[in-house]
Amino acid sequence: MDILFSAFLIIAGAGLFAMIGADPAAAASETELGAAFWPQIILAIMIVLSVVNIVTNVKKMKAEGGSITSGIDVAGFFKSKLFIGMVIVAIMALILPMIGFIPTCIIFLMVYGILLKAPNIPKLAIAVVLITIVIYVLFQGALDIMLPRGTGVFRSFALAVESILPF
Amino acid sequence: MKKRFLGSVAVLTAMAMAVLAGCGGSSNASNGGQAAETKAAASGDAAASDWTWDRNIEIVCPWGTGGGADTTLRAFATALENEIGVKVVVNNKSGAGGVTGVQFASSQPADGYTYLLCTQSPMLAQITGATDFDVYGSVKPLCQLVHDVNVFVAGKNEPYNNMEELKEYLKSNPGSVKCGVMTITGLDAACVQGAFDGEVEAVAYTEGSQLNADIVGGHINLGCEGPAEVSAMVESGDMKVIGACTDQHLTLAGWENVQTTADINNQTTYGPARGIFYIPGTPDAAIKAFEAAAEKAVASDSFQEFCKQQGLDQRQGWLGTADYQKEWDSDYENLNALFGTK
Amino acid sequence: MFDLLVTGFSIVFTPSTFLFIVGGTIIGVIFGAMPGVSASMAVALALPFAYAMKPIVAIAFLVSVYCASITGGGITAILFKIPGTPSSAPTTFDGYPMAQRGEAGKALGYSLVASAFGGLVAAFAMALISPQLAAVALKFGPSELFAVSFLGLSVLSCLDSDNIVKTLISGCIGLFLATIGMDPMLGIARFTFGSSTLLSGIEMIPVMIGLFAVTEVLKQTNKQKKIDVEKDSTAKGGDTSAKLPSIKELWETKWTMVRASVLGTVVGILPGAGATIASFLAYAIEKKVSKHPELLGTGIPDGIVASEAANNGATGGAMVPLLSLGIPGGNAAAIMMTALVIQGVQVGPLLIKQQPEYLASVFASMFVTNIVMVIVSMGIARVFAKILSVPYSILGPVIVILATIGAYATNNNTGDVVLMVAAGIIGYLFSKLKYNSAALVLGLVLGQMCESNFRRAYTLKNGSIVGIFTSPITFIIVAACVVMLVYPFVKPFISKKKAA
Repeated sequence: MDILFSAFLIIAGAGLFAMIGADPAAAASETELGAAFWPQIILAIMIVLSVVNIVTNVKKMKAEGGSITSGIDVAGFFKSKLFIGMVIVAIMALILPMIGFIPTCIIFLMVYGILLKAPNIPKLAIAVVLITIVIYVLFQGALDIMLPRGTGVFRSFALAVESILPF
Repeated sequence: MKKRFLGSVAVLTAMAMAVLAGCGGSSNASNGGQAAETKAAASGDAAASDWTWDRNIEIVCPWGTGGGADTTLRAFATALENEIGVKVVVNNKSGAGGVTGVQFASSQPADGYTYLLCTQSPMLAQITGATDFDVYGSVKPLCQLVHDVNVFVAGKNEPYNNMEELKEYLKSNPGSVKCGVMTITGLDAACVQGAFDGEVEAVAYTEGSQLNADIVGGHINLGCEGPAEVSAMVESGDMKVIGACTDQHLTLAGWENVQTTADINNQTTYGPARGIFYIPGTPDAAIKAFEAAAEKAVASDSFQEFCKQQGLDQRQGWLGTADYQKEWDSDYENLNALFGTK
Repeated sequence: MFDLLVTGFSIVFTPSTFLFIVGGTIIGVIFGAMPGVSASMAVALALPFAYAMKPIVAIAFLVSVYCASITGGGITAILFKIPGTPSSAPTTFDGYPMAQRGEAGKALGYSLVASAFGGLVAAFAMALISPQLAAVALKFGPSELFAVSFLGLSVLSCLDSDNIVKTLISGCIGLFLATIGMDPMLGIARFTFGSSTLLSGIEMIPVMIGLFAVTEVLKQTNKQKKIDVEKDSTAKGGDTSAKLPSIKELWETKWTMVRASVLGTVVGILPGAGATIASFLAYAIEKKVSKHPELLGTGIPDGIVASEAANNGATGGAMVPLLSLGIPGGNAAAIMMTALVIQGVQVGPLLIKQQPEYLASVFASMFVTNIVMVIVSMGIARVFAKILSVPYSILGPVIVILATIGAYATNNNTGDVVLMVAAGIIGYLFSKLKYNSAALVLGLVLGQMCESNFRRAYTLKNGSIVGIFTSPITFIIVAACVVMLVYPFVKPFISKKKAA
């Protein structure tokens, strides 16, 4: 797994190195090092270190007699709570601009709470609504942060809620 | 058990309140909106009095809290609130030299409640090809609030004191003077390019504080900035003002004798103009109402006092929709000629 | 000078002014503890209140909000692994593990006392040797600032001595991420693949919050059974989480505190550096000089003390160039300057000559705030610490929501939330593969400062790389870095020789 990641870094690094090198606007001038100079140094160092990492790992692997894919349990990972957690968090980030803060917050807290085996679902629901109200009033109201409103119906809903805030 | 009971009561009350107030709020808004629309439709030509403000309006600021654009907008927003009677909320959406904020504002519904503060910078990003986003086409100028000037400053030990001496110095020492700017593709860099015909190299800085320290510390020869950024150091004698990119002399106390680009027969007068923009499709009546209220807000004592303190009163600030549109279009053409890549 | 101090304190100790300082401190600590509310936002939010006050009262009030907000950032860093302000990120390295062990109260105590100490050192530096310090700061041009940021990067080699190669790779990834977006010198797009979201670059705060807070919640999701057991044991322990460090324990960290405070103050004075860089540098230097560097990062007080003393030192340090030169040392200081100017304060060298009472009141309020802060924020921290007793099935998701707001509020941009989640997932992979998230963050924080100052120096020296190192300050700092970088590799040989 570690070797695969290093290999990925080498390939990506080499690709990016060539990409910035090919950009005519990034070239150096007499008194300017150019936009390509610094990233290319960084990428070069990264590639060299990744090669070193692969070599040490291969040596270790031979000594221990493992294989490249040892230590990865793909099927187990996709069934694990961790993977579900990642998916939920990712979905949360994607629906936030669409449905706005309040619905996202309520749905996310509920779903993730259930994933974490909250003992009492109705209790959780009450807590979730209360927490959402507290967070919303605090940040949108008191701290003047414009939380995402969402689009369409959700936007109208957010505007309606904003109009009742006492601030 | 008790806790749970109290919890549910609180939720119920909150929900009831939300429903009641929410209905009230939204029905008001839609009624008002409809009324304004029908009136506008009936008269064909909208007037400012056809519009009533039913909820808070939002002005997007494409730069972060505390910068020059943000402080100007906040001073204006406070003055505007007094004129229109609803709250004016400033929404800072910074990023990509202002393009992110413009993009966000233009994606909002054109219902007359979302506006944008903008300068020429995001447009320049489009002209130079730094972004593919059509800044010029996505928002329209409504009114100009302030028009700042750019001045050249130098450390106290530099061997020139005004534009003429600097020109002479450049003749005998070509390529020896470098000028710090905040945006290499911005108006300040355009000033450096224009005022010295390319004989001074512009060097980009990311922090204004570092630029000032480098000028005072003698690490760089020149800087191109607004008067507000350097006034403290000029007053203390750590910096001297070499020249201003204007066609008339400045009126700031102590700065009256500063040479201008006009004094050395140069036409470079770019300066950041901060103005309010609207989203295409915004109701005519809303634009007219905003323009009328904004004119009063800009003329108000509090805003004028702010401009004076920040040195923003060196040029005519207020421009109405028609004048600002002209100014904006001519900037677009000039900057395209100077920086255009297409 | 003595007269000045007397004037300052006589102003501050009028009842109404004192009350506003206490109020400002409370507001500052709470704002600072809110994820996404940076010190500059806290000052901006407090500004409207200040307009209505008399100039001297307003100054005292704003100074207290400003100083206290950085301290507040440490509270959430310790309790939830969400740095309230980016400069508290290194506080999470040791603060969070301590809180997990049930020593939240101790961690908070160290953090607050160190903060106050750092603030006091900076306040005295400001009052006593401001002009001299400012003169030194002016010697730091682009090449010297490059050297300072390089010093920060050289620390990468010792962040995790068991995995040097992987730590360096992580640092390079961070440095690379910092190059994405608009090029700092030429304004052209780099690695943006045509996306205008990437044009503004990879924002630091969402990445930090993602790597620390979101990764942590994901980890806990995976091993939730364990937590519940841990929860039981802490519950039995009763008051352990509220226990404060004793005077003796605090005294043991005295040298760390002094080192970090002085370092923080100095870095804060340099325009273009700032509190975030200060706290990372202080943490790293602690790692270098500590007698037991392997314990740093596992939850020992020294790490918290280094980070918090340095960031408060830097906030105070930023007032030095502001008051003596008129150059604000950072964003928050820039807002302070606008506020002071509106109140009629002439910042710059003339201040001490023409308006000494203002300088005196700034100093006196910084002094008082830092002392009041310990008491006030301890109270606030206790309230926050109670939150830890909430079951994790609620607390975990709430941490993610708070992290989301924190990431979003930096630019009010939902794109940053996506970035945060990506960073959170990558952070989990990093910890599985034994890469180093802290190194990545360090690279990201210092990358732009390092690159742009190097290139700026190159241009100013008319295109000569050798010219950059001719400045004595640059040469000395860079030489020190090289020694630090090489030492771990040479050390075995030296000790072998001695043994032989």
